[in-house]
Amino acid sequence: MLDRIIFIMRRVPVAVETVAIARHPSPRLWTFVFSLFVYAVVSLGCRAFGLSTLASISVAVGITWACPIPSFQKIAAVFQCATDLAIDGREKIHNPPALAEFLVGLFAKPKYRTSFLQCLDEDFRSDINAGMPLSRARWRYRAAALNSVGPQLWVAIKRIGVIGIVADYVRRKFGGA
Amino acid sequence: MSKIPELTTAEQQTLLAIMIQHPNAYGVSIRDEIRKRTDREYSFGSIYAVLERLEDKGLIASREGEATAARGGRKKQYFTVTALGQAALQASLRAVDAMRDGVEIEGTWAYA
Repeated sequence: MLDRIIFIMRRVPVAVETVAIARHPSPRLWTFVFSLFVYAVVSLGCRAFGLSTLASISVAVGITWACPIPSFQKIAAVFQCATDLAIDGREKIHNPPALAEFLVGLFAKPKYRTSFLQCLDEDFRSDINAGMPLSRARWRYRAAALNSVGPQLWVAIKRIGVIGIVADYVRRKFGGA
Repeated sequence: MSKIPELTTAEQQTLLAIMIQHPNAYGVSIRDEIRKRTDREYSFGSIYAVLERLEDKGLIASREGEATAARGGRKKQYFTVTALGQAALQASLRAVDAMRDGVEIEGTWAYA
């Protein structure tokens, strides 16, 4: 059980970092949002497994603290680098939707994450270069991302063993004995 | 010698697309090649799920390519079919050919 939680915990920061590096946002904001997310997920998970409120909070705080948060220095360095490159206004406007990128980054296998996002990005840019309005290109990106998340999610579910976790929970809750 | 794995249709198509696009087979080119030849539109999620399966079985190998100019230089990942992959594809296509041999498909009844 613990190894499954650790497996999930280790995937999230990499996904956050991937998007953060691509978008060079405020590193403090990302760290804060990420910490809240980890806390909420762990806390809810503990409650679902029948731990008391105090125990849930303790575990959640502990795991949030121990979790490998995206390295502040790395994101800050990328942020600085992006600023140095003086990306022009056009480049900034033509970024694909962040949430869609995040979802894809979250569920893609770490090994393929960069190339996966690169493929979606290439489609997005070819739409823009073909003269498609930005809003439509962004909607197409969202649709492609959602369409892509399904198969990746299924692979992740099978790998993590979510079905086993749910079955264990149902058996413990309703199985009696 | 390791056992030759069986392939699904999506795996066959992906392996063939990689061979056609060699040495520039990556996500977008594989998807486009399959679309061009079969009119099937696969999402990148499906493509990468198949690629992951094939790589786990040792039928393809991947290498990191050059970083793209846009957006901080994300790298492409290029795929090549291994010797085992070629053997599996050969065996799979041969099996289809063997099954098809002598069968007349008129097709009209299928849409009746």
